[in-house]
Amino acid sequence: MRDAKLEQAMVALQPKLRRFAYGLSGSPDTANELVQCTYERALTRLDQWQPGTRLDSWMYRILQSIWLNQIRAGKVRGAHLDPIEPDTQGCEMPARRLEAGMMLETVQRCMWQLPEEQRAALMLVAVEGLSYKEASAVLDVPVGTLTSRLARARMALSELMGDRDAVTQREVG
Amino acid sequence: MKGYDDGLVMAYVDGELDGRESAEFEKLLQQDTGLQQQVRRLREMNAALGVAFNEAMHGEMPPLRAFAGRRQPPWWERLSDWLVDAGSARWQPMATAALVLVVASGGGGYLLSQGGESAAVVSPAVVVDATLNHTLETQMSGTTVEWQDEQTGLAGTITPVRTFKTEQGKFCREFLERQLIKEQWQEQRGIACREGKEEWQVRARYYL
Repeated sequence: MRDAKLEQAMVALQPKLRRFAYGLSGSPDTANELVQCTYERALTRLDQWQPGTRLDSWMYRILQSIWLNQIRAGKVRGAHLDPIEPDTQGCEMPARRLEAGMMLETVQRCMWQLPEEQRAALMLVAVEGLSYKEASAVLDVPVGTLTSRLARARMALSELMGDRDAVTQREVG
Repeated sequence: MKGYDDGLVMAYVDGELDGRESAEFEKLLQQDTGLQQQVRRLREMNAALGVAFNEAMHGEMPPLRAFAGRRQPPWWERLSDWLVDAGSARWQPMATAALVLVVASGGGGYLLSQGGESAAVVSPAVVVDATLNHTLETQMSGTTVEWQDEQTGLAGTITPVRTFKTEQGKFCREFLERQLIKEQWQEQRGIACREGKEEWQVRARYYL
């Protein structure tokens, strides 16, 4: 009975897991596949899940480790980043072109230029809303390492975005 | 615009400061436009990231492969979960109502433990109860235990199928019973919950 409820809770996490996977991989297809693999692995390891701890953190962690293994195995190297044509798809864009939709696209594009570990840290804290402690547990690093990755990610992202003030002065949303 | 620990600004925006730290930081914030700008920039970046990736949460979710081979819990399993959830005081009237429903729908059969005389399988109750209690108490799921009743000449087997824990912390087991009646094996299933040592209360018996 508890298993059925646990399964329900797991299934309910699919949208969030897909968002995280998309943030990591930059490809909707890869994200979907990552999510599928995450559930497959989670189900074989249900005994490792400790009731009372966050289910989403546990599954983020599985997803993240599958992703890292894929990268290490070279299976997805380069596949998640389309070649960038500087004049149309650059990460940096002139301020006047940062219309809402374009701006969000640009944010994504810049995000995927960050190193893997920084991107994961930023996704977990800024997008998935985990605390530093939770995010550091997902990534299996000390909190200090997490915060320094986070700070570097943010700095790099705002540099990649080019004109800082263009970002700050524009209404977002 | 400078002079502040970037980590502190970040921790403030990310909600990592406790109440006192946060109040102190806000005091500084009020007096410093540079700091305000830093905070605003970080907030905007968080918001932009959120919006940028939220699209992945929408739209149709692909069916999950991991659950594809899994059966939906059959009606009797859901019913038994519900009965166990409902608690023993409310159990009997609800079970009776369920019995009426199931019989009326004509699908399968559903026998309550006390409704023995209408059962498809005639149980030599004492032997079965003793074997059942002992088997459920001591045997792993998947292990089959045989029993024989010399008085009636009936024989059968009991196999625990799976074990689960209710939300009240009670252990229950689903089991499979077979009886040889008129040279034919009859099969039925049941669910029993542990009330004490070698004391299992059958919550439901059913055949499919």
